[in-house]
Amino acid sequence: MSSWIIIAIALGYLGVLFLLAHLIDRGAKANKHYIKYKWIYALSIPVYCTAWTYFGSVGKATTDGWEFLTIYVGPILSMPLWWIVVRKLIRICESQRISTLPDLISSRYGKSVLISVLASVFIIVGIIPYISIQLKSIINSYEILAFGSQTDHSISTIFLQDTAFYLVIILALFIIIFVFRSIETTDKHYGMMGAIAIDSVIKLIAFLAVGVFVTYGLFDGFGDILNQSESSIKQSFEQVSDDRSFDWFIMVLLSMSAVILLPRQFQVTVAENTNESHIKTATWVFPLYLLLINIFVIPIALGGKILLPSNIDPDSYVLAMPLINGSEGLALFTFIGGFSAATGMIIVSTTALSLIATNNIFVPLLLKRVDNKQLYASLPLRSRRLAVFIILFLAYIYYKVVADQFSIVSIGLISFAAMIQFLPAIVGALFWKDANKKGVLAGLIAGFIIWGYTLVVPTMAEIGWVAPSLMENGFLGISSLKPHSLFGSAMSPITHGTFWSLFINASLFFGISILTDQSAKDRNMAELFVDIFKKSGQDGTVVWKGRLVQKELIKLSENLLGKIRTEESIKFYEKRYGTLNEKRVDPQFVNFIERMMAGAIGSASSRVLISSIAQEEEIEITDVIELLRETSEISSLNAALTLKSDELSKRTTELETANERLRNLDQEKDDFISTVTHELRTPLTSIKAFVEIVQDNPEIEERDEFLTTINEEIDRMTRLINQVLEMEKLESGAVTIDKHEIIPHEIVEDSIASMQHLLKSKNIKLLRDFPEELQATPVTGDKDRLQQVFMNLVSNSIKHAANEDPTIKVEAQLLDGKLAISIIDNGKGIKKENLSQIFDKFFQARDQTLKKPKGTGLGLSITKKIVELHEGSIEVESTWEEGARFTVKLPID
Amino acid sequence: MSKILIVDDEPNILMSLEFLMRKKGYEVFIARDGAEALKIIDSDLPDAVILDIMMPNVDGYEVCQSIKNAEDKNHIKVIFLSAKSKAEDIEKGYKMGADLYMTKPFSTRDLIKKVAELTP
Repeated sequence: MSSWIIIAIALGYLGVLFLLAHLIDRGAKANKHYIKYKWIYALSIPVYCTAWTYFGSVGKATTDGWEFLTIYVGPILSMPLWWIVVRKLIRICESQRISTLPDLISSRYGKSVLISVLASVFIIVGIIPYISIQLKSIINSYEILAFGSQTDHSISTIFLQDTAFYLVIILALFIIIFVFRSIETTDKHYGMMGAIAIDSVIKLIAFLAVGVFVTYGLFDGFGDILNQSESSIKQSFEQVSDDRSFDWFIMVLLSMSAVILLPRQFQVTVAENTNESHIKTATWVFPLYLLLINIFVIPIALGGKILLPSNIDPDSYVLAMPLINGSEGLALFTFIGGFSAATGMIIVSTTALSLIATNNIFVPLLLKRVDNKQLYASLPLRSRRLAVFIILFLAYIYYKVVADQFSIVSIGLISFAAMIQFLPAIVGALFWKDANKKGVLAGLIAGFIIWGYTLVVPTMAEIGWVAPSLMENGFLGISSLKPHSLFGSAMSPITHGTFWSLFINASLFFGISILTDQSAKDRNMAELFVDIFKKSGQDGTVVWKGRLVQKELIKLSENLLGKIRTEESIKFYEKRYGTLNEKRVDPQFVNFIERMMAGAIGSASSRVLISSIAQEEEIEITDVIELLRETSEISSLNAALTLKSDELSKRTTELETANERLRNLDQEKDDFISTVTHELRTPLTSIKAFVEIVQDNPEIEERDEFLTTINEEIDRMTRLINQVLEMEKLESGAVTIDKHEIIPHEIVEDSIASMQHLLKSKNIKLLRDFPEELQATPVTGDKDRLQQVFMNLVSNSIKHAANEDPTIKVEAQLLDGKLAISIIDNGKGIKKENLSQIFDKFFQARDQTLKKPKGTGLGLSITKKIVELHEGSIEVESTWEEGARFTVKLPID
Repeated sequence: MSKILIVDDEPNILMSLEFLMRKKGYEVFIARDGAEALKIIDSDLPDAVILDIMMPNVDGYEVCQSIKNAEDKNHIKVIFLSAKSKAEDIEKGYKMGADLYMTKPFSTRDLIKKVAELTP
């Protein structure tokens, strides 16, 4: 394939990526709804999968079987911890304006410049080789595609004759253009994140495409590949020897910590996070991504062994497979996948390293030498841009001189082992208040020395930079100091180096932290870090004692952040904490400015700057403890107050509800009284009228008829008064029912018997469907009360039965373990809209669209109350014009 | 002789009023609800209406309104006879154009006197 086509396509890909990055950056800053940052965030985390995954996994699988998977098992296993650990890291970094790992560590451990510089140097030394192998993989894959094999990239072709050199320049420009535009390091780099998320998608699709091509195009599925494989290879997958278990454990541990601590991972997961809830999306997207990208590793590895000649490097199988039957298009796509995996890693890692180099090495050291008056606002930004070039240049040189000699996986693992040295310090920062600066310093230094001696020195020996006798005989000829077997231990090199460096590091860290006293500064930050979730919102727990001139402080901030930014910050501060007092400098304000400047130049540098303009007093541990006591008192008072006010608002709500209920009851009572008086007026009116008629006309023939009417109306009033009183009694709960065993059938029959004359006079046909087996069924209840119920229902049905062929039916059945007795008439029935209100007091009287009742309007309400006192229920079913059915259900014992 | 329409849904009140008015020599019509009353008003054009308010279908207010809004009927005297005794109910009755509002229970003697005044 023509090398120009490949280069054109790679440049085209970068061009499109840069354009999309630009659009995403603009969209995100304008808060456009189509930018779903949680997906960008979740898909940026697979920047973990570099050329190592893309090319190296297959290579590793051909020699070590399943072992390639261990570095994905670690991250997947760590996912449940993310909500605790990563969220805490994000919260701390947000509140302290921290953007890099060394910043985090130096911030927690006394804002020490020494720790800041040491940690940064360690990280840069540990990661540059890792960047350079990504460069190597890009060049390798380009050469395989262009020339069919790799060429010699020795120092002879360097700089202008070298493709890699141009690549480095382009990537550096991308970072400068898209990442380092603003001085604020805690600002989010949406463009970069968008580009990384796109890279993640491309590399996954490309890898899956090769996987499908190999498995289903070159072979007939997984089974076919397995059948054709030589038994020796299959064996490495079928047998997992026990003696590898400690190696695997170390791998899982390495990858678990790497997935958070590697500079590029820390950058995307912690520094670029905008919303803690996005972690939740990441915790399922990332593991799923890791599973998908590993599905086809084994088929490609086995397939490559079968089809490709043995002189081809297994690390390039992914690219070589599409080429063997001429699928150049797919090969090109595969190349782009690998290209995106490598460039993504290079971009984020370089970004993170240049932030580290500037904030944690360059600026603090510079500040120690120069007067702060010489500071100017664009200094951090300029130095960051310069750092990008330096780091990429170093990576390029390393690639030219050393990287060619080693596989991607081995160099990657050495970087992992470097990063795990920060694990004790980070765990301490997050969870252990007693951890101190001395412990961290001792642990880190020891850890890195051992890391260098056991893992880096042997690689130097391999390329001849260190005398081989060191490897064979140990340092100074002491055999227990052999780099690959300290104290005579026998482990594989990476396990050996990781184990000893981490073991000594952690032991010193914990041991010295326990044995030595913590400084006040340490204690200060320990409280803040470990209890970050309890102290959200109050970031002023830090003690500061000293004198400085407020004007100088503001001037300093203006120098560094610019006038506009400083004014904005002060405005923000005054809004939150009150107006600044010109005469007196509030320690809180000093802390605030320190944090603001930390966002631009890192916390250690910021600390140095503040102390350069202030006459600071040494703070005592007692000051810190006093302040902590005060804040904890305030916060417990606050908590108590919140509790009280919560309680108060709860009580208020309860009171309101009670009030509302009372008001409703009141209204109901008013309605009841006005209805009752109205109902009383009607018979009273008739009585008064007839009495006056009879008085004024003593001789009329209707005299007897009128007197009878008067009597009837008086009875009606009496009934009404009795029922009102009964309703009152039932509602107030003053009625208790006598509980006896009674037979409902008998009660129903008694009720009917007492109405016999009415039934006869109205010529009503009575039907009974009371099954014999239910006639003796007893229930518990009050005989008189239940008789009242059935008499009321029967008399109602007599009243409403049809004029023509009037019929009433009594029915009984067992329903859900209850005795259900229905009284049914064939009258007009009840309209559907009135069914639900039929048991309401005076419902008929209130509704003027109905014929006025002959009864009091309380009968059914009373009936319902009585049935409910028997723990039963009453229901009505009716269709207009077709009669009504009232059913009483009584529980059977 | 003047024609009087009595409207009430309570049979006994209707009975007593019918007796009283006949005794005084009026020509009496009776209706048990508002709808029935409107029909009789249309067909027999009474001189006065004794009107209950709370009735099924069409209530007394509506009957009064349709009398007073019709040019050919607004001379008909309307006497409300209602158990609604609150000031606002009475006010509403007069607003509808009633000539008299009496509350139940009422004095038959008063009523006879007032009806006589209204129907000379």
